[in-house]
Amino acid sequence: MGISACYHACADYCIGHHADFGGPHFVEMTIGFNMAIKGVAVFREWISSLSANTIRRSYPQFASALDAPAPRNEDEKIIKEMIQRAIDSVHDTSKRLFRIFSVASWTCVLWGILALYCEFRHCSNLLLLLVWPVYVCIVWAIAKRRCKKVSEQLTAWNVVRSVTQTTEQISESIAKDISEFKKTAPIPTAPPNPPKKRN
Amino acid sequence: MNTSTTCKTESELYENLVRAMIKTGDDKPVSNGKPEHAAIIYKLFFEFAVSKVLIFCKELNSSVFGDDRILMMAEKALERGVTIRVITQGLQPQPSNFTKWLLEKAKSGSCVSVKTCKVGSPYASLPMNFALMDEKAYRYEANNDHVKAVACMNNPRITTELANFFDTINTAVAA
Repeated sequence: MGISACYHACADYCIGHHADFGGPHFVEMTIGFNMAIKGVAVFREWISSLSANTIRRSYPQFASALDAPAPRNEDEKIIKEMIQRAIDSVHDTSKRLFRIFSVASWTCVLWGILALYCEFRHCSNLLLLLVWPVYVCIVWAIAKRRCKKVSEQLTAWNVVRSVTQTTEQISESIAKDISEFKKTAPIPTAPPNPPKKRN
Repeated sequence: MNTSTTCKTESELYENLVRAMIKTGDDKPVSNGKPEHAAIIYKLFFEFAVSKVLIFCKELNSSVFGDDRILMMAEKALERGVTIRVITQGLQPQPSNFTKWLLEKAKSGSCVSVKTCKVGSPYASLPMNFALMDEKAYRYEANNDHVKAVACMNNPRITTELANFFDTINTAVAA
């Protein structure tokens, strides 16, 4: 949005006031830049909430671990780490993509200025319209994919941790199984050693 | 606990988690309800065993022991001097590369033994199956008709109890 505003400020200047390189348009451009910076921060928040909400929706049992300000036990710590790693990885990718798309976007702006003189500015407008939605879609797809991966991890974690019995209960159950069997089965004795053959 | 985020399948992730539990000495119980999970646990037992791996099972089910990674790790374990003792419950072991290797090694008198309970003996009809690694980790299946077990990578108390029971069965089979 910010970049777009910035572009429009620039485009307004180029289209409407190319003869008048006036100060107010620089103010517009500065506002545009600030909005762009703010927009990135908002977008980062959106990625975080998208990632966290996807996991929260898919795995309500992990919501408490995700929402707890500090992990309460080793399991929560691991789950939190897994989710955080996924969110961080989406952030990193979106940052890298943002740089690429910024270059693409500014190229469009420059092209727009150049196009003024070639009467093809409508093409640059169209490109700029396409660039940022494509960026958002790509980041959204990456976030979804990353969430799917972390979901798979959490599924595996769930499988590992799906034992409902405590160690004590398991221990008791095994001891009971063995003792019950021993009650019914004969107690085995080792075979006597065979007498040694005399030469 | 470090778990790789680049893994693709659920089985790989399961293996990573169980491996991490062995490394960190995690004493929480681990669930395993699929033949692949059982194969992973057997593989990890052979991978991390220091002194012995004991297996009491129905017939060395090929859906579990057919995984050649178990064989690979068992070979390495044997090279390290790990004792491998297997008792099956009266039935002929199911054919797999692992079974073939195991029987060959048992014949050649190395640290491998394979015994079979006599048909009709009480041990042949025992519903439980289990496997142990050293005096530390166990996998316990309360009912061998279902591949649903509980395991723990660090519980010396239960493992010792099951090891004693294994010795009891071993003595009975030898008698």
